Amino acid sequence: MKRFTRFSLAFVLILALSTLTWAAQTTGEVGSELRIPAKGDDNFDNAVGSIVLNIDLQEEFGENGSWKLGIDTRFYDNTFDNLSAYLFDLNSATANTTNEIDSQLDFKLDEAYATFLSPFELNIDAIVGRQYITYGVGDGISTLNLCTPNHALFVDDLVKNKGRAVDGMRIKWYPGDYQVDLFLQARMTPTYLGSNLENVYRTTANEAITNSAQQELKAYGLSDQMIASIPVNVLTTDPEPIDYGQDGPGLMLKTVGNFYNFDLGLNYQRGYVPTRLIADYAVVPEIDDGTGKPKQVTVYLNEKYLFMQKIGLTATGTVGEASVWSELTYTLPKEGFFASDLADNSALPEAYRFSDEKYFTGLFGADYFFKKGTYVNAQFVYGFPWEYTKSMLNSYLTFDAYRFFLNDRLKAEAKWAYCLSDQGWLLSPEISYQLQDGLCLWGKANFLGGDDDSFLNNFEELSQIVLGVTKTF
Amino acid sequence: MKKRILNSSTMKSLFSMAMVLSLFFTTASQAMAMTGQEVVDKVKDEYGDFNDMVGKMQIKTFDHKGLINDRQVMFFTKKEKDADITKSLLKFLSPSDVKGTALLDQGNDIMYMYLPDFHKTKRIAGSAKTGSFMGTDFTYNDLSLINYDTSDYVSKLVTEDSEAYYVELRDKDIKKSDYDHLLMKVLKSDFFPMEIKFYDKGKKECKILTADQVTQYGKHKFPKNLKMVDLTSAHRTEINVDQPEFDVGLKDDIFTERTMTRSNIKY
Repeated sequence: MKRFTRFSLAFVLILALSTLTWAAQTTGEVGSELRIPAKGDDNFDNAVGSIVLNIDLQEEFGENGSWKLGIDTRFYDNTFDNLSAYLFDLNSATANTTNEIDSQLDFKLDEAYATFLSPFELNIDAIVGRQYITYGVGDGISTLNLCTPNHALFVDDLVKNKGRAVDGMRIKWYPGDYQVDLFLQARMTPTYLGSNLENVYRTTANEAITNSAQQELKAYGLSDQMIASIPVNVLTTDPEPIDYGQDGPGLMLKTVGNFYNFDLGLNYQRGYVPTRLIADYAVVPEIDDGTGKPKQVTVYLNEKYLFMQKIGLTATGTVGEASVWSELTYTLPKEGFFASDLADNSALPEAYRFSDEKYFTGLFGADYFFKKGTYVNAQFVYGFPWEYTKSMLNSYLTFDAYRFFLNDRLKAEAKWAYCLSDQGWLLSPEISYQLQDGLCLWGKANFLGGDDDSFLNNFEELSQIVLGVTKTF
Repeated sequence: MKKRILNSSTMKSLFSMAMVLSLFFTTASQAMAMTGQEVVDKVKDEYGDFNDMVGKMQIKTFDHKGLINDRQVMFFTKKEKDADITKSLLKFLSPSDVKGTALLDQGNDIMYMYLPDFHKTKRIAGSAKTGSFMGTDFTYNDLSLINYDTSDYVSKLVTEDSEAYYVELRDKDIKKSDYDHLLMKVLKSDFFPMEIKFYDKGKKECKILTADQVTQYGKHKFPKNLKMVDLTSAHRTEINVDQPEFDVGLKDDIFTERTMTRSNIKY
């Protein structure tokens, strides 16, 4: 499958580059943004500035084909901190070498695909290469996008819910009043989280594991105070490579037809969860020869990509003047993936008691445009995209509302997600003002909070206020 | 005095002539006092008598500070006379932030929007048609007037002068309507509806739509420029229609989700 990926990407790139001289349609955006932490001290010292340049090239080849190439680049730096460093103390700059500066450059081949359109009589289209895939019908959030990973440098990237493009081949067949849509995944694309998001996620997981390891030390007859004083190191073992031969290719298949004013879909998906999960762990205490008691503990985490299958039903339609949609998904994680004692380990928080137990998830939502132009959207979701095992599942309410003002130059929008299970929440207000055609000033904030034990509250320190300017061309 | 004797063939000729003259005068008197419905029917015959239409539009919106948006769209419309519905497909060609977005109306309140960023087709409901059309001064219902479709309105001739007829249009479903009524000015010379004034629920003039540069495209005539001014906010929308084609025989395949996703729509 890797060979297939390389071949398809190389094919698209050669095709793209060879036809660039035909003056492909070039569009894109260039912008700059400043991210200011909303929590903690020295907010401006910890502000991060970014320059963003996204370019899309698109062109037809012949009557029945086209290609697209999208390149996204973002250079980010701790602006004020570095500015003062460069001016007054060169040695304290965070990026001292070219390599370190390069590490602050996020460059990715966003999309690279070719579309082959059959004549209408054959009714089959194929899209080959790196492409965005959305199979679920939920608004921004879905229980049926197994192949779609997260790509989030910052918290608001998660709010956008765009994910990232994946490599593969999509075939769409339109035999009549229904359509069949197949996506064959060349290889799994892992979730990519920015360092701060990754750190919080890792810290949270490690704390849970550390607590469990400390519980095991009670077997040595140590008091809680003594256990707390023993250092615990958490080490992740090198992940095993994915065995595509054993599990088979990733794929998503759906068929959709219209019945009684509703579009009903039947889905089957198989593939890998794009985030590594703890499949097993071992607590290895280092015994002090003198006391015979542990003097330090190392926890070895065995993390792997979970293979799973999903069977889902979708429905979209209208009720009165509102759009409605729903998903019902039955998930079958790979049997025997998790160590059997993981699910029964009462020392672990419930969310980390992973098991291969099958489970249902789902969502339903509606949106409505009010007469004066206000748009509202609400969803109930059981099982967010990053909740992969039954133990992780939570219920959420999400809202989105926007309205235009000042002759449509000013747009005010607010997004809110609230976890009914653990009372965590995320609020993301945004305001944008269009100065002239294609030139936009904007500001937004991402606040996270909730009960101390809530998942979203772990990210509270990453709450940000973001100011930016974007020019589309 | 010799009495003239009329034979049967002469009688027939005179009778026919009388009939023709009678018809002429009847028609002439109707032309002088057409009803509102007759005027809008005539407008539709002159400018809206096509089964399908394809073209590009440049849509610019302005306020007192200048240009807000400059968008180019490709549009397809087809009238399904048997089913009494009009299908339409609108594809945005520029600028980049909306490029590729498509709106499909299959009639009977079945509508879809294609979002190219997500490669996703989304079902949309009737409430999406209540506000303004893509930030312009047109509502979705106003757009039907561009196609000279006044079937949703009751027409009444309110006055006329030497230049034009003035026809009042009232929505048949007045509760759902954004307006109290519309006043359409139709030129007597060529039955071109050069101006429509929109009156809000307080019967105050709120918007004015003007059209000019009527151009002949084969058998059909269509204005090149349309301008809608919102009198309450000084906001305006200018639409430039580029080389429309009529009755090209659009297939039903055009008005499908499949076509929405295409970057270039062949027809």
